[in-house]
Amino acid sequence: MDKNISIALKIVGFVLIIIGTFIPLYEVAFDAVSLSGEFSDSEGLIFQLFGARLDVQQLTFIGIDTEGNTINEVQALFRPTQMASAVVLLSAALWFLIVFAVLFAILGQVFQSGGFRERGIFSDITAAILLLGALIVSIVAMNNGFNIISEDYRMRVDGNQAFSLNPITFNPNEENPAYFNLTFIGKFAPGFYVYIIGILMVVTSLFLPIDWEKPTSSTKLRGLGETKVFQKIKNILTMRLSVYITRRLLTLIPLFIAICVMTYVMVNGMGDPVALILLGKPRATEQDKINITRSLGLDQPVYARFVLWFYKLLHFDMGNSYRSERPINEMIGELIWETLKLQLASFFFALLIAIPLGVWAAKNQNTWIDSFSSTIALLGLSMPIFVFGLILIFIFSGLGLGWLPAAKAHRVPTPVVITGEGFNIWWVTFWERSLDSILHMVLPTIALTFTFLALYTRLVRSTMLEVLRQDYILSARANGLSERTITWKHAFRNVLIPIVTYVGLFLAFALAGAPITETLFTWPGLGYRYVLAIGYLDFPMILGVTAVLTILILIGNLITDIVYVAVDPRIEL
Amino acid sequence: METTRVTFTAKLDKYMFEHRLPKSMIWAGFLVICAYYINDGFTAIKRLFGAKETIIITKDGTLRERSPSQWSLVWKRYSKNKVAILSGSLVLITILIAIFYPILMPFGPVGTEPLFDAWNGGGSTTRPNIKYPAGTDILGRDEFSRLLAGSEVSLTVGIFSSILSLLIGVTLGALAGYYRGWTEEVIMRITDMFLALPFLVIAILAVSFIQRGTLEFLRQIPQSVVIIIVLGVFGWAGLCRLVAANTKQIYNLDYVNAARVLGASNKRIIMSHILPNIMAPIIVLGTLAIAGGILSEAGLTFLGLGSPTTVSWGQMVNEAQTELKLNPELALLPGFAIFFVVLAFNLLGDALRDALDPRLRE
Repeated sequence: MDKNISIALKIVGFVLIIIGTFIPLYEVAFDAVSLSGEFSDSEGLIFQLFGARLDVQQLTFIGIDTEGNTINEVQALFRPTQMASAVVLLSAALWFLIVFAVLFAILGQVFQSGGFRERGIFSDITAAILLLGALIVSIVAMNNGFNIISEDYRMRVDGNQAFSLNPITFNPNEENPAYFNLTFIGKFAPGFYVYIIGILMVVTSLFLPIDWEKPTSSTKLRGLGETKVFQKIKNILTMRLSVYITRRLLTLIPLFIAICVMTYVMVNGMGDPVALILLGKPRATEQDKINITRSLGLDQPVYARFVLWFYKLLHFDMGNSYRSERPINEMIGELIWETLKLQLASFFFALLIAIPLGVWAAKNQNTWIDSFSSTIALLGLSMPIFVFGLILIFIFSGLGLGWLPAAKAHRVPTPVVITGEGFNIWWVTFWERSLDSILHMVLPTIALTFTFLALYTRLVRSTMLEVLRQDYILSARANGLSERTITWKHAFRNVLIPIVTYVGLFLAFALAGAPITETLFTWPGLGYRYVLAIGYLDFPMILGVTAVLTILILIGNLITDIVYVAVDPRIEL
Repeated sequence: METTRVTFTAKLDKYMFEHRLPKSMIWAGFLVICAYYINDGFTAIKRLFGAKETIIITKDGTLRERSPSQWSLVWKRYSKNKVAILSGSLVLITILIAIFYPILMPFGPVGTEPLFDAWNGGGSTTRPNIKYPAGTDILGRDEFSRLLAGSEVSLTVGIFSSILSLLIGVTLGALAGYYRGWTEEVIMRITDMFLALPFLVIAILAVSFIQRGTLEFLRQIPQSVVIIIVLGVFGWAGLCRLVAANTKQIYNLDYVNAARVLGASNKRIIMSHILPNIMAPIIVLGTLAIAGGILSEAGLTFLGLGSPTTVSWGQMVNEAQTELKLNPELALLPGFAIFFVVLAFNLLGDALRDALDPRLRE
């Protein structure tokens, strides 16, 4: 059979699936809600029902008064367990299944065009299984109306109606959730049938008997295939590097999910944050406990909480901190800059010292220079960073010479005497703050530089020795080039390869190693706040920091691998 | 209180009275028994200490001298290196201290009797003197005894976490390198996952989950075992990659093919043909992992994750932070203890690398 048919079926099928997911798949049936009705507020004014808004904890009915001017809202509480564990779970599951199915189908295409027949078939079968899973989930969603039970709404009882809820585009945790137009759609859900047709088309296309190596029979298409653009696309698709990158990207997603599951389970077993929050309250009752547990969403089962958290994470929302009640996004955004400032400065200084030192040591092997550099490297590797930091504090801070501050960074008091207006005030405070920040940075930067210096001196020295032993260095020497040209032009450029590829890994290493230094110098960065959050049982903060760090490390690893392959042509994939 | 001269047995009695068994002794005994069973009992000891025939009979019936074994060559190279001997003896002394510290230390590491001995130089946060060679800490415990006792936790954590990660890493790495295909794919993906974890952050999380979590049975585990498990479980990934790569390299060599042709089973090929030949980097990495384990343990307890009843150097630094101005030695002495032990293990690792495989140098 021709492979055009299969590709066309796949494309059309996926378009149908995506269209189907944006048409409402199932409806939320209310117990007894008149959608064209009226309601009255506490003062007795009567409002016409205009719309309803769904939130995690509550359902809000919006009404217009008889003159059509003022808008009033009545909130109806409902049991949030049904909300999170049913709607969100199903929609998130659908989302995952569809995304993975698309990825696997594309990968199957790439593999089979590249000649990896078995792997292609495996990817196709996986995509088919995922799509069938999505089908089952959508059928479950169709058959279970989610009955949301209103507890104290003041509505007139007037028959059963429903409004539609889309599982893909629905996000109950947005700041301004979408207004749902209340329309009666009955038992017919057109999106479902479009969806089924799309899935069936894709599954059929996956199992068609196709000889992928045979050229297409259509001469027109073959003529099209010889145009430049298609040639280029074909070249990119069949290149080993692109297959490699696609594979790596695909493995990243399950890796990330697995790490998230692990951290989530561990964090949720860490203790009871509600008890810790209630510690500060005098005369806390059982009802307070229940209220706080509910408002934090801790009354729901762990799997539902995980799915909700992960779903929100994909929408770049990591919840609010239990402690300061600020959004985690904002907090991490501020803190990560503080951490990076420290780490990047020390990384820069470490490279500045390590490269000349390592090269110098390698050039003068087995002399005092070599032993000096390896001694420094050994000291840096063996010294715990907090001990070196303590020594620095004893020498330079108020305990010793009193030159530099050791703690209380970023706590500049507001200026008492104001000497100017506008720009001058801004400049004075800005200058004071910058100076304060830089002064506080000095000691932690020295401590971190010492550790990084050890790693990089060793790396540069061993790579340089390896390079200097190569034949092309010998031939360069035989050709009479100067030693300086050989060192910096011929040898050093090859030393740069491992250094450049280590930068991606470095970022991850540095960010993960931050807690100890930052705790010692009470630097207000990611690591220090992380350790504090562990003490406060601030679940969203802990989860947010681990998730962000994991993403950074995964991306760093990916970039490292790609750069490594791209820079060094000797490596085979 | 009369503490002029306490006899050896009395000290041990007091020790047992405080219900604090010298765990390091148990661990050491456990190690010896393990080594005994793994190496087929007496044959290993005989091979180590027994005299060997220097002249052997070959198959032809002629006599010739026994060629020097690999380990004797390694020992020859090792003993030439002065730094190696120095670091080796340092490590040995530390291990001896960690095993026999109950006999050496003058006071109990958790007892507070120096607090009530103010007239004889005791009390809280005193300067070092003859009776209390490193002073006393804020609760009136003898710092010198605590320094000696802290070596136990550091070394057990370092050595056993290294052994645990070696066990996991070498097993998985050898399997992945030998049985290619799906086995390798699955193991390497798991390895990728563990490599992608932000190590210290996850270790903090795991330790506080085990020690202060809601699961009762996990909270029963003593602190050093918790840290051993966490460091071992999260630290094997790099080793696994190395072993897998080396196994792959050796897999296609001629002598492995010859063994396969002769009908050797997979298990035999892995155990007696592949593993002994990749032993050198494994031993070196294992020694360096001990140093890393000690550092990580110190870091974790420095952050205040240890239990206050366990004597650990990192925790001593953490507790001394409030006394930095008046008693700097309380923070600096345990800090330098960590530094010297880690330095000794790092030097030992380098020396072993030079001795085991001269090609690995540089």
